[in-house]
Amino acid sequence: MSDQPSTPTTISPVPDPTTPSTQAKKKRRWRDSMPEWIKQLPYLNLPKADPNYQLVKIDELNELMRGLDHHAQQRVRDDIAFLEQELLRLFRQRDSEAALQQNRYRKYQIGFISLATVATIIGGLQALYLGTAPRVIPYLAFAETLIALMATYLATISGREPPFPAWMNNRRRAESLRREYFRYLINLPPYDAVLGYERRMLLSRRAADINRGVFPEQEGPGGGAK
Amino acid sequence: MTNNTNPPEAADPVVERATLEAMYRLFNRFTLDDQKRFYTSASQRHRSASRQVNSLRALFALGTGVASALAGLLVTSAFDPNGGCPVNMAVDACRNLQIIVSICTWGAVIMPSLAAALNILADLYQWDRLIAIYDAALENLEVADALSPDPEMPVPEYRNALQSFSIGALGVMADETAQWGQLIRTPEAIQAFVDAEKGKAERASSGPQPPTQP
Repeated sequence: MSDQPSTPTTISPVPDPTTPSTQAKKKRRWRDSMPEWIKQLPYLNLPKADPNYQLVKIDELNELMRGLDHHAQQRVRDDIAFLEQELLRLFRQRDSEAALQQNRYRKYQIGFISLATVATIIGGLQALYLGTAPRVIPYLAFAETLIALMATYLATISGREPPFPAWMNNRRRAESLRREYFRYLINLPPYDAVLGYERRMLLSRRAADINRGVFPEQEGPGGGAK
Repeated sequence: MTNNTNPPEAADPVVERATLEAMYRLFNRFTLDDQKRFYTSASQRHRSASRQVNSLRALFALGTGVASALAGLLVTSAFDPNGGCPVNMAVDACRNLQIIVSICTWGAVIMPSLAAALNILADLYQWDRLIAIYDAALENLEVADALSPDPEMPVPEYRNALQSFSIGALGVMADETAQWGQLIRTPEAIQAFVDAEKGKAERASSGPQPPTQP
């Protein structure tokens, strides 16, 4: 789930009902009726992420657990409550930061593409009018200079706290935290080897490590250590 | 792979079985199904965006060709060799022709620029390659899904199947994230443009250059 996000779950701020759960608020916007490529353009102001976002929806969980042994249900609910406190809040932060940086990155890139397009058009017009209307050439040259200055300005502001590595880092951590959530819930290695408080402490430690960008040497068999 | 996905603190076999079933239902719904829906939807959305942008690019390329050809035809056939209207042409007709030639000429300048912009946009979003990644991930998830435990399995087999199934699915997710991360790059055309414009801005900022001596 890494697009885009919309990464993944990449965080399309306006997901359609067929997309998986995301933190994005479901709000209809003008671009809902636009062609798909326009829907994927960045937002001027990205909608705020849902602060109560859950990877496991409680109402659906209740439905799934119906008819199962009470102790088994309680064990799952206890794990989910602990994950909420120790991991999910970190996931939410990383996920929303990744969406924010992805939007920032694409905004700058679209800005450069727009400037490049205008610059190309001005260059074409200069060639066109060189012989027929030379008096407009200085104006076109001035416009070309303005484009160069705007591109430099954009490059300078995007160079401070570059959005691309921030997007990648946050998305990688968010996705790793998501997998860790289910690894703990399903009791996969390494959580199967410890019990009680040791198991909980192991999760806290691994979640904190992933959040600071230190990925466990191995996420476990098949876990795709990165 | 270890074979001890024991639910913690579940010594009672009935409780253990119920806990394993709860885990399976949870994982199946909130990981596997969610992920499958995401891959399917992302693939469809990217396919649609790619097709639309490609159509627009083709349309602009066609428009450029038509506009250039039409402008050339009108200039050579309707105007005299100096670019003026023939003496026998009405003033209004001459003016209309000049407007049409201007529109065609502007179109021949603007449309290729827009096509180039869409080209860079496609490079930025990498729709075609993302479609391939999501389609492959979806197929791999189906492979992981094939390992899902059967309700009639005894507890030890059920436990092993659940572990293989969930580890397989998490592995697909991890691989997809890694491939996606390697795919996303800033288009070279944008970087080249920024470098070129910085050079121009520096030259502009240094003020007008003195005329060189002949």
